[in-house]
Amino acid sequence: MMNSSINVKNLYEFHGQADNCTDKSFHENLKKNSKPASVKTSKIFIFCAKICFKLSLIMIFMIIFSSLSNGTLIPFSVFNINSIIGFLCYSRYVIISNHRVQNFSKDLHVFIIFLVFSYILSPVFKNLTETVSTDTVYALTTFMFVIHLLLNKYGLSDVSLTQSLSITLPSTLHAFCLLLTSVQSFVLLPKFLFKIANPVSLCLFTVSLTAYILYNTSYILLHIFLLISLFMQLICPLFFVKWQVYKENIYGPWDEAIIQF
Amino acid sequence: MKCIYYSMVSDFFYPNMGGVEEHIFNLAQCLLNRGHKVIVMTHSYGERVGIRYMTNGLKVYYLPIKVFYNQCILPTQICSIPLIRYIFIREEIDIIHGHSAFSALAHEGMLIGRLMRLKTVFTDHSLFGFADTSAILTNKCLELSLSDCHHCICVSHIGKENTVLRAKVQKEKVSVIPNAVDTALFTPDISKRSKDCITIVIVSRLVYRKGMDFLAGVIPEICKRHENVQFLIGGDGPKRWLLEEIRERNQLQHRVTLLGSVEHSKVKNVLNKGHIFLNTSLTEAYCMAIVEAASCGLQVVSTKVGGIPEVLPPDLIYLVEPTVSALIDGVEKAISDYKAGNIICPTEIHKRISKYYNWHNIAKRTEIVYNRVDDEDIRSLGEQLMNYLEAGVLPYLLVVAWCYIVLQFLEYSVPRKVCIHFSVVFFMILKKFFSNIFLHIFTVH
Repeated sequence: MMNSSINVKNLYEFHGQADNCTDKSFHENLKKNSKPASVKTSKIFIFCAKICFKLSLIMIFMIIFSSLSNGTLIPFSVFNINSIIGFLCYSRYVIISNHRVQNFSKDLHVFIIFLVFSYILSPVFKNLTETVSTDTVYALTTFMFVIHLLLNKYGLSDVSLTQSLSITLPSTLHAFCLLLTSVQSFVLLPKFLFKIANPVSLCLFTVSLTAYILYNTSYILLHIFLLISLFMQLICPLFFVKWQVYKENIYGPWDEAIIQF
Repeated sequence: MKCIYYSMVSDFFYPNMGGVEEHIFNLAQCLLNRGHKVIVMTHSYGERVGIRYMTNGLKVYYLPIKVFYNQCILPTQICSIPLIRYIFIREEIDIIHGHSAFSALAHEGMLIGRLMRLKTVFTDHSLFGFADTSAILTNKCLELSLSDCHHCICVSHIGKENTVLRAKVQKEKVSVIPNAVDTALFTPDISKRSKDCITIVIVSRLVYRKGMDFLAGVIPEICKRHENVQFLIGGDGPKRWLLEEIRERNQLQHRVTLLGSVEHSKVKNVLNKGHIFLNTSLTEAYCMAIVEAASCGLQVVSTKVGGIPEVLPPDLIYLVEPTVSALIDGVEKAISDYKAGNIICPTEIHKRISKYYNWHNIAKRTEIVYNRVDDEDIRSLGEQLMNYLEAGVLPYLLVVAWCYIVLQFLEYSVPRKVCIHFSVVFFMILKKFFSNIFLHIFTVH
């Protein structure tokens, strides 16, 4: 009696069989891997390149910070470099996006507001976390950078987080420059550069730039950085693509219906 | 007939309302009627802590455990051992019946019960996919918990296929026993229906899983096509704003009524006002709502998902694919059938439903499972650990072993005799307390 078959699968009729018996149609509607794997190798590489790019930006930012705090860079030169890069990028942006006149005034408006307010507020940024010990600030910043990398589309808020670093700087002008750099490197640059260039070549460029700067500052950091970049840019995506074979999805009538409009 | 002592364990019970709660309550009532002893164990609900008695002396233990997430307790596995063990001993429980895969208390109760050499039965009330991370995690937890369970019950054949896949239970160990509906409570009453327009009733929690987004697409379209159709929506939930917005935007305030949450005893009154019942669920192991509606003699239109196709015979239900356009077509067909008089008499439907589903039948079938489990041999700790080993999560063996040690320690520090003795003492104190109160009342008046 146990394995005899039920012809119709319904609950309202009593078939005279034990409740725990099964028929041939058991798992008949089960489908495996019905949707083909939608992973493209090139897409994965581009995605990894974006992460790598962000990592090298963070490295450059940290180098600028350390050289600002130990006096090898003066705030004025940082400001100059920032303005030159900003101006070049903006003019390029204007060319590719067919800007109109009223947009110019809008952009200028935002730019001036930002400049004035960040200049006014940089003493606050500097003094805000003065009571917190330097080690705590460093630990917090590292933690925030890791989060920033994990959540790739983190947006604007990481700018303010990096500001806690500015307390260890000698003057408010230093803090102001660091703020400008952070805005430019974490908000504006990624947005703009991904529009005009291929992420992979962009990533290669920034990684080599960072490597060059690190070559002049610290050998250990250079090695660690290169190893991590290699790991993220080559090994991770290769494994990801290779391991897709082991993915097994089961579909059946129990799946939740998907709402389509 | 042998009298067996059962304990129903679940996080979900009255005053919470839903399919699981109703199932436990009705099953317990029928088992009591059949001469067994049944207790229910659940966590505390607000002020409701301790022992309460429900209809026919159904004893309910509201354990003083705090709710952690989504109406469930924190699955510590160990913290509530003394309390649960004490209750099992005191009530001389033979079989533990856990309900719902989401209920942490059910899994904990079953684990402790098995280590106390009691038999366990588990009823799974839900379906689960395999695609996302949360599903993978939950499925592994369920597999761990069920790897040593004596028998499982699912509410539909689809549910069984799902449980066998995700908990890797042998299919012979899974029975299909559907839910039922108290048909005496859901009787048709045509006199309450509106004479000049067709009412479409929806009774459900207004949540994503119940397909409220479909409903938001169906309502304006049907209202546009038919002048004399109105909607009556019972239930509350996070998607209520969506329906309200649709109602405002299409100026349908006079044709779409949102009743808010409806008590289960009042659902019948809502159903009796309608001609057509619409169910838009995205997934459903067994849909009680459509059976209740059919029992009230309504035409049922429902999405063809999960176990729904198994629940009602094809002539009592309009099954449609889960899309807005298919749902609209289904409702159209029901409306045109109603207008053409091409429908089955409500009393006739009610009679058929009461023939298909009743709790006594369900209780009898569940009893067969209980008897089979009761006849099984008691497993030693080694055998139990071997069963857990199959799930492949070695650290869980440590948890089980630790629970066993705690139980052995309790066996030494609070022996079984003392437990029963305690309960006698407690009963005497209670008796004295109540007699004092009665004395007091009588002396006052």
